[in-house]
This record gives sequence, C-alpha cells and structure tokens, in this order.
Amino acid sequence: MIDVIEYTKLYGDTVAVRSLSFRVAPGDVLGLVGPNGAGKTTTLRALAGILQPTSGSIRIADIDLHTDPVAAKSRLAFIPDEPQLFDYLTVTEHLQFVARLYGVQDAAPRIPVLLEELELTAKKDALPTELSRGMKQKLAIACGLLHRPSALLLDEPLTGLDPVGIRRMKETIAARALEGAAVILSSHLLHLVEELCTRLLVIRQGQAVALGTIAEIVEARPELAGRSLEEMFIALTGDDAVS
Amino acid sequence: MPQPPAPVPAMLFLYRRTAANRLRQQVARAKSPRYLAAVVMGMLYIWWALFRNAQFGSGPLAKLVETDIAVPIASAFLLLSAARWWLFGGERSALAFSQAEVQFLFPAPVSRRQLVHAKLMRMQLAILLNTLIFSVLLRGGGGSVEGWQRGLSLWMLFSTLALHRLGASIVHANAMEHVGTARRRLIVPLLVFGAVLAAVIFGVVTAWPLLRVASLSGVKAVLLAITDALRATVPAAALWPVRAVLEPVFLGGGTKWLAAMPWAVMILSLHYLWVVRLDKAFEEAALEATQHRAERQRRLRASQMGNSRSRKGKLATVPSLALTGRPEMAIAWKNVVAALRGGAWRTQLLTFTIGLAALAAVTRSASDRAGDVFMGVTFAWGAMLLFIGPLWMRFDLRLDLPRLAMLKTMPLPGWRIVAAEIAAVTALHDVRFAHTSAVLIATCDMPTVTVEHLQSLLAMSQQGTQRVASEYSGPDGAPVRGIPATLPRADWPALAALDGDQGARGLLRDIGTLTVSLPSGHFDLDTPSDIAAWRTTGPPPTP
Repeated sequence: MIDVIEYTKLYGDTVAVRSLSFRVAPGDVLGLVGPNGAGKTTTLRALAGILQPTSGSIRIADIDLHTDPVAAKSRLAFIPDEPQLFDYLTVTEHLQFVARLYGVQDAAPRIPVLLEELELTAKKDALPTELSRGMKQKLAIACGLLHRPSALLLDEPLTGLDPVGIRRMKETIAARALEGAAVILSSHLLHLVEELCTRLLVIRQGQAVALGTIAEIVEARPELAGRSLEEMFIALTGDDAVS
Repeated sequence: MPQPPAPVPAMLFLYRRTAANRLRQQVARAKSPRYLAAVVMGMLYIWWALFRNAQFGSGPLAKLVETDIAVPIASAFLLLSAARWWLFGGERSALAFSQAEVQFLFPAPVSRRQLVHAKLMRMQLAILLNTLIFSVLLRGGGGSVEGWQRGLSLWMLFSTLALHRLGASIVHANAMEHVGTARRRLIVPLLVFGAVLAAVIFGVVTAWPLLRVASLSGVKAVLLAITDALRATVPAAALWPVRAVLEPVFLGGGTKWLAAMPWAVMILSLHYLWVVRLDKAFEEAALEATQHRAERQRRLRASQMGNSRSRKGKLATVPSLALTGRPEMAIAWKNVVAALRGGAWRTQLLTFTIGLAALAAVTRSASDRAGDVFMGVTFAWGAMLLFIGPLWMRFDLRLDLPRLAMLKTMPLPGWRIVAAEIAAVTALHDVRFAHTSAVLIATCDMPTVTVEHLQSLLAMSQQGTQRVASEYSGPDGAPVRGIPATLPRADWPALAALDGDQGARGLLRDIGTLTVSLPSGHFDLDTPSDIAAWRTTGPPPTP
C-alpha cells in the first residue's frame, strides 16, 4: 500500500535521506524510529507529498506520488507532531473544511462519530485557543481520519495526550490497521512502538540500518538477541553502530 | 464513490468561517469598556486617515495623481522594488502560507496549480483591502475618473505586483534549491530585468548634467528633471510594461482610461499565466518560507530580532555574572544579554540614525540655518522617543510576560522581579554609553550655528579624543570659549562635579582646549521678542 523505492533527498550537498526502500502492506503498522535528525520527519513529509524526492519514487495505493499527486494524496493522511490548526475555525468546522477538501461524501454522519471516538464532542464548537495540547492533537487526528485514508502517516502521535488519551489513540490506530490501512508511525516512545507496530524501520543519518519485525532484525544481527528494544535501538543508532 | 476534492470551495469556506468567527469574537470582546474604547478610537483614526481627506477636498495624494511626474516616477519606483525581488529572491514571505494551511493543504489532494491558486486567493484579501484604502485616499484626484474605474485599476496594479513578486520568489527559490537547469532558468529573467534596469540607469546617467543643474533649484526641479530623463526613448521603452499597469490609475476617465486598460489587462494576464506555469518545487519553497516566517514571528514575540550568533558563528561578548549576590541582578543580566546577542538595539539604532540623517538632509534643503536643522532634529528625536521609546527597548518585562508562570515560581517578591526587569533597560543604556568616546554639547537657542561649524568641531576633536570649544568675542571684546563644544570621556567626571550657572566654561578655559572660531557665537535667543527681532534684522553685529 505504501511503496518507497530508492528514495533520496538532498538539500544542496547535504544528504537528508539516502536510498531508502521499504514497503508497508495493508494492515501493517511500521514503526519509524531513529535519533533526532535521522531523517524521520523528512521521510514522512516526502511520503505526504510535501517534499519532492531528489531521486527515487513513492507509491501510495499503487499510485505514483510524483506523476499523479492528487490521486495519491486523496488516499493518505499525514498528522504532524505539532498540530497546527486554524485559529478561527471551530472543531466541527475543521472537520467540515477537511470534508470539502477531500470530497468526503458521508461527512455529515461521520463527523459526530469521529468526535465521539476522539472524545471531542463536548468541544465541538470550541476554537483551538480553547483546547488543550492533547485535544488539539486529537482534532488533528480526527481530521486525518475523516476521509478513511489507505495510508496513515503519524509523526509522534501521542505527544501531549494523557494516559486515557494514549490508550484511546492506540486503539484508534490499531482499528485503522485492522480496517486495512497501511500505517507508518514515527515515535521516540519505544514501548509504544513495540506494542503497536508489526515491523520496524530504524534509520540513522538518513540511511536505513534495520528493517523488519524484531525477530527478523535479530536474525540479521544475532548480537542483538536477548536485548530489550531500547538496547537494540542504542546499539543500532549509537556512535559505534555499524552503518 | 467519493465526491471530487474541492479545494477552492474549501478555501472559501475557510475564509468565510474565519471572518465570521473572528468578528463574533471581537464583538464579544467589545463588551468590555476597555476594548470598546479601543474600537472607537480605531474607528476615529480610520475616519481621520481615510475620509477626512475627501471631506476637506483633494488631499496631497489625490493631488499628486494629477501631476505629470506621477507616472514616470512611480514606474521607476516600482522597477526598483521589483529589482530587489529579483536580486535578493523577493521576500520569502511572498511564498509563505500559514502553518495550518501547510498542515491541511499540502498533504491534501490538491494539485500544485491549485495550491498556487490558493496562494493567489489568499493574497487577494490584502490586495482588496489595499485597493479599498487607496481608492478612498485617491478619491477626488485624477480628473474625471470614476470611483469604480480607479478601484479596478488599482486592483489590477496590486494584483500584477503581487503576481510578479510571487513569480520572482518561486523562480529564485527554485534556483537556490536546484542546480543546473533551474539555475540556468533564473539567468533569463535576470538578464531581461538587468537590461530594463540598465536602460533606465542609462537614461538617468545621460541626463546627469541636467539633473545637477536642477539640484540647485530644489526637490521639485530634480523630480521634473528625472521625469524628463525617464521620458527619453530608451528608458521610456524599457519602462513601458510598468507604465502600462500604472497608467489606468493615473489617467483621467473616459477614452484615455479605456485605451489604457487593454494593455494593463494584457500585462496582468501574462503575469498570471507565467506564475501558474512556474509551479515547479512550489511546495518546498512555500514550506521553507512558512517555516522562515514562523521562526521570524517567534523571534519577534521573544523580541530577539537579530541573530544570536555572528556570521562566523561567534556569540557576542557579554559581561559575566557573579554567581553570588542579589538574585534580581540575574534577571537584569539575562535581559541585557538578550539585547546584546539579539542585536535588536543595533538595528534600531542604525534605522533611527538613518532616519535622523534623512530628516536633517530634508531640513537642510529647506533652510540653510543650522539652528533650524538642530531644532528639527531635536523635535524629531523627542517625538520619536515619546512614541516609540517604550517600544524601542523591547527586552524588558514584556519579554518575560509570556513566561509569567515561570516568573512566579522564582523565590522573589513580585516587585523585585519587576524592578529587575526594568533595570535591564537602564543597564543597557549604560552599556551603550560605555562605547561613547565624547559628547558634543550645543543648545537650540543659537540660530547662527551652522552645520559646517559643528563639522569643524567634530573634525578637530580627532575621534572625540580632544576637547574643542567655539571661540567668539565676549561683551568686552575679549575672546570667550563656549558651546558648541566637544568634551572627551576624560572630562566627564569634571562635568559631573560642576554646579552653579557657569556650566563648563571653567573647563573650556583650560590650556589644552582647542578652538574653532564662531564670530556670531555671542548671539542667542532667550525671549519671544528676541526671536521677532532676529527674524526682522538678523543677529546683532559682533562686539
């Protein structure tokens, strides 16, 4: 459902991402992990069609993002780490705006359901200034889910949520995967990644250093056997890691 | 089957609801007497600024429209503005969206061309507002042109300019991002633009002798001479596209306006076609511009207008803080560091100095009397300090107000925190004063003092290291030393110790004092009758 082939992004002479290739099948939740500055956000932005690749290609639901960006984008949702909302649109109006933008036919019945699922019903007429950080994050996610995306890209989706909100969000993400969405989730919360993701992509300095299930990664790197995910992460991305 | 994505109706929905919710919130705020008073004052200001012009007949702007110099001078001005966009990549803000627009529009099924259209639609908000303001300001000018014709002409002018700026920004950003073809693509418009600019400069240079002669007869003569120079064949041909979009605004109504409109429409249409076809790498350039603007706004909010580090990556040297002592000193020190490393005071001081220099130059052209210049500068300085003085030093309490919760956690009573925040402004003045090598003391009641005399004093002070006084004849004919005078830093302790009504005369009598002759230095103005006498008969003869 998401195919990335030899994706490379350069800023002048600086390499942000180099020759990244991976596939996320429907129902898969891929955990994108790496230290700060590893290229996670650049990769997610490229997958969302915001950044143009220097070389390589990206396909969403078998549609090339470069040659047919509108069709590809209509099947994906990108939820950035910092929710940026319109200052003077209410919660409901944000969803109405997205409905129009994506041409969602059944928006009228879906909006209350989503508001309920994300515990925003009581705030449906509130402006963003009246929302907490966690509620803003929930609204951004509700906007991303409204058009039933086939590919869901989440950058640090649990930041700012309380424990109940985190549990709800995990259920929401898992439910979308069960419905057949391909999910990519970037996070520093390794326990969340371990719990929610079916596969892992570890990147360091713009390059993939590990890809697969934890078992597959251990099989490729036997010295990681018996280590916790945190220890594996440090071993794979630390200064003494083999690139 | 889903409906097709509809970005344009979605954007219209966004703007409509934003306007309605904003208005609703502002109306709710106006229930508070404080906000209501502010609204009334704002409305009065708008009436005064916009409609008073029409009530009292044609205002200066409207009259300017009717003059012959308006179109050529405005054309040259617009060309220079556009040159800045091309040479320096336009202002990146031309490409910027709001961060929310980036989040919602960029990953949405919106084509690049539709994104460009969304940007153009967004720009229309400002363009329509500007059109409205200028239509009101220019009301009554420009012969028999109808209001709607003026409005339409202005809208076309502003739209063309906005498209040109956007296009220049896209081309420039594209060239900076990519090498090879894209960079080569920048060369073509730069060459075209360079040729146009060169043609205009050629026209001005050719007419240079005439301009020099005209400069002796005042500003108006210079403007007329420049107008004539720009009407010569070569510059006039180069400026034609700019003139074509300007003329409908300035020409009278009727057939002249109708004849000018097709050309303006053509230039606008060509710009539109150019921009919508120039959409390569639009998203990245817009994203970068948006991030840049967000960063700039963040800095402005934090009052850190400059860069903390120099171009070489060095941090500005700041006084070190003792690790023990009164805690509020730490707050004051922090604010001084923010000011020094932010560089805001340097930028503001430079701007202020340039403004004063321009004012002095204008005043100088109006009158040769140095006293008038001095009075003008003094009044301007006073007025600016009165109005923008509190804003000038933005690294005081306001810097920390957004972090009020953090301030409240400090183990200090509130009044000591406030005192410490205010102290930073004073401390900074002292820091700046520490770099001053000398002061020039003069009073505004000596109308015969000339700029040349002040320059002589400064020149003789040798970078402020020497004490230099003005020398003139006293009542008994004996030479007297007095002000204007420059006093080096070494003299300041003696100045601080002075008392009585003799001022610094004792100090100026010192043998080390250099002098510059000021024959009419004995003359000053103390009463209104002195001023009246001076205006009719001039200064009394030297004793």
